[in-house]
Amino acid sequence: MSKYPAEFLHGTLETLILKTLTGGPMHGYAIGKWIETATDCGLELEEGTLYPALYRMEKRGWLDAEWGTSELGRRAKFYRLTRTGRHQLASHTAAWTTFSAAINRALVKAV
Amino acid sequence: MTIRRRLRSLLWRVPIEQEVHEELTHHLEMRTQELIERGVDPITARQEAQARMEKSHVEAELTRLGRQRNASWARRDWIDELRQDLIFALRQCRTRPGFTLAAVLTLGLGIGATTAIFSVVHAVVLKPYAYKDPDRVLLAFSKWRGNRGSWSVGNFDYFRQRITSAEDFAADTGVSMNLSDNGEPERIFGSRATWNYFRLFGIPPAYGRTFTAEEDQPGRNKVVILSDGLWRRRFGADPSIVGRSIRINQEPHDVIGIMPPESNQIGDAAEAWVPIAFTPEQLAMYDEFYLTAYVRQRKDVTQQQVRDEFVRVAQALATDHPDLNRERSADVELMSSFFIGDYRLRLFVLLAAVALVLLIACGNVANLLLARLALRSRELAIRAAIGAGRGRIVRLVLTESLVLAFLGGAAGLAIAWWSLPALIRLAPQGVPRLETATLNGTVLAAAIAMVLGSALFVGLLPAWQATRRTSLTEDLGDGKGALSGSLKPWMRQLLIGAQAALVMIVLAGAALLVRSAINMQQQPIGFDTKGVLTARIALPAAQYGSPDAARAAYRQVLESLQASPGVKFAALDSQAPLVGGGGSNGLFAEGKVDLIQSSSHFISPGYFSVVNARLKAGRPFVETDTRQTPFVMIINETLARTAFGDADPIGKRISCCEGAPGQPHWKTVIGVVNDIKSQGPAADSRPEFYLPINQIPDAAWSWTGRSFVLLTRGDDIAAMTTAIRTAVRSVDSTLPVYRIWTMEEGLRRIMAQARFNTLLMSLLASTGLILAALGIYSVIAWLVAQRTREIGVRMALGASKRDVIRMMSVHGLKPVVIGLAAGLAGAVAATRLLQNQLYQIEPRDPLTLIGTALILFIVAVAAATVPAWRATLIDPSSALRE
Repeated sequence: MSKYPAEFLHGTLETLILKTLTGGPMHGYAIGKWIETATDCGLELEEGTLYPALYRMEKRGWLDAEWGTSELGRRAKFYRLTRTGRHQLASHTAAWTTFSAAINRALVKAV
Repeated sequence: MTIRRRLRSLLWRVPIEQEVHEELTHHLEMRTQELIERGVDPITARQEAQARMEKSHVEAELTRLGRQRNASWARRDWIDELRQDLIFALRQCRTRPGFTLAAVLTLGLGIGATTAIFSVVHAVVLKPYAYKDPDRVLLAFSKWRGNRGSWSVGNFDYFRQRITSAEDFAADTGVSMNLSDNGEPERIFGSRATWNYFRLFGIPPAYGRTFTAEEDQPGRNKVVILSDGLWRRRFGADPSIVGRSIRINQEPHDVIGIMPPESNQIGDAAEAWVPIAFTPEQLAMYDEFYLTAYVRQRKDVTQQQVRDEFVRVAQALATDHPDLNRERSADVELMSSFFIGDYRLRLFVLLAAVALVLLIACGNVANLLLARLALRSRELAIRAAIGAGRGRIVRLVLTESLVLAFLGGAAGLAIAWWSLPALIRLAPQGVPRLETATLNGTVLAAAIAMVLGSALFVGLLPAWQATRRTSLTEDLGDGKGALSGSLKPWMRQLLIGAQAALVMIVLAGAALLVRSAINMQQQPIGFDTKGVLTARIALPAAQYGSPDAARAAYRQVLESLQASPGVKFAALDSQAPLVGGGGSNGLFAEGKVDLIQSSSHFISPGYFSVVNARLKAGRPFVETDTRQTPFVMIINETLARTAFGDADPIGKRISCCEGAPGQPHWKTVIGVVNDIKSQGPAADSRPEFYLPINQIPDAAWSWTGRSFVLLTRGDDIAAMTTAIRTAVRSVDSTLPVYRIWTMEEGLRRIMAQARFNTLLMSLLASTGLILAALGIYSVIAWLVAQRTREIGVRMALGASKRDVIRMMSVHGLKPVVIGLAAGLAGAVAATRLLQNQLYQIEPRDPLTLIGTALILFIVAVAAATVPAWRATLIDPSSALRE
């Protein structure tokens, strides 16, 4: 279970998914695992959060999906980044950097 | 990305439920595997993973999101394809400018004409009225022997005291007024109205106020309300005129209000209103009928209840005042339908005719498009071969026709924008609200609907044709083979057949209108308009209140006129032919009880010489017919027939215009004059009587408002115009002379309505005829091009030119003949709608219908023969070598 409030997670989830897929096509489960590992703070993604986000991003054209074969030898849906998705990632990252820096500054000053 | 998505959607689109289920199953397995690896036993691991999944309800959520995703993709694909089709269609248009121009102009003409006519129909018939709750505003009629007419003051007042189903019951009467203020004295058209007139219509004044009940009393009625038009024209749109005093008929009147422009849409367009303020004498007058009456019905009653009450009150009136009202009844009608009733049908007929021409234009463009598709059969076959479905190809063709229709619509709007003002200028006077016709939102919406409809009409047959190709090899093989093999000529024949039918209907309508216009022109009107000039003057009551003064003034004017150079004859009439105005009286012949409502003419003795009417019997009036000599009367043939049947009317006596109930005032008939059609040739002859101006009762001077028409006959219109102005000025320089018209102008104005409709219908019919001829021509030309080789063979084998011409033209003419037969049947059904516009000709006049069909057939033969004749110029040897 997440240690952070759900809303906080939600806004950044899409950015994290985009980041995950820069390494190449992945299926849903792998994306979830990768995010859990990469954030390295016990962030655990629920199916009910991860998959709807994937579908929404697919509808918006950030992701593209195709069927492939997973490491278990099973049919699985693989997501890959589209050009639009790459642009989104770039702008999200830039915005996030600015935003978090600002928050950091504020928090440090407050202390 | 787009291509990838399209491929995916084409190659493996699985139902969304299956997609979600498979994806989640995979997730479940991965999770179970992970738990097992962590040391959980397989059964527990599976249960745990499953429980977690179910708890999140993710499957339902994903199915919903997936559906949204698919719908959004489908939309995007559709728009992508539309964009491709549009680009393709536009490129097609550009590469063949001749074809595009022909199609766009043809559609533009059709859409433009229809839009212009529709905007007129909208302005006159469909647009809501300016006054409040138009469905409760009625016109009330006083009926005499079933004929609707105006009201006498006595009758109006009798009804006013008794009618309970009306919120308001008001009356007005048109009068001309002398407006003499700062500047030139001017004659204006005004109205005297009861005080509740404006309240009835519910139109508030733009400035100031409307009348009060107190102002509708004799002596307190010196107030005036100005129309927007007069206020702008004469008073420079200055609101401070309200409260000032202006002189009307030489008497000061306080301006109390200015009406907004919309008030012109009520009945006649008056320029100023004054309270009618009935005097006690007027209230006792039951036999002078000149008031128009209006009703605003109560919210809780129906129109039928109002009508019933009017009939009941009319019966009571007939009992109380039997001598004048025994045969009178009353009736009401919705005011809006009364004013536009006739125009509604006329305009809708016109609109229908225009729409038919638009259909003919669509037929031509469809024809062009079919020919174009035939040339592109190879391209379409390739499209089909690489996977374009039927729907896709239909859309491709419809997009092309849509592009053409939109370009045509743009051209059409330009044409409508340019032609609407011309149409309004050309139209006859008096079409209500015509000047308000504009290309407004409703009209634009109608034009867009026409564009879409045309696109469908134009594209439907070609689109259907385009999906009918099945054999790829045939289409990809010999280009010519493809043409004759897959494009059936019957389709184009169907088109020209339909066009022939439509043209037949429009042309038959136009022919009927032209023939009735000719009939009307040839109809004798009973007088001679040539060289006659008319003008109206009115003597104000302030100076000419006594009959002697008025009579003397008119005698002076007449004497001065008769002495003027250029004037051969001069005369006076209270209501001259084609000029309008005047009144009517009820009269009865000695020994008869029936009251005959009859138009009154108060004339000077020389009148019949001016209008060249023939005295059928008896003598004309002379200067010595005065109040001191025996009372005399001249009647027209219709009145003679009505009053006396076949008996000789000379010497018989008729009572009219004065006397009292039970005390007839006899006048002896001394002459019978031929019927004069004063309303123009189309109107029926009515009973009319003439009294010598020197003998009319004193009261008649106030009935007529001391207003008479001056008539002169001569050769030089300009000299007579000067003579009239000089003569009037020599008597009283403050008197305005107005409506100086030649009678020929008056006749033209009356015929304008008929001529306008005839002109428009003829224009439409000739446009339709030209379009249909072009259609027939192009089909035969296309057939000839198809069969060049065959014709070459035939001619090589000895066929004569005549054989070839016959063979080719019959192909085109067969459908035309069938179309003409269908059109004839359609014309018989449709021309009924013209009934009330026709004069002395039946809507099914066989001569006209057969003649029209014959003309059309001859045009079709000509249109077919030209390309067929071209076929004979084919050189057999080169045709065979091709």
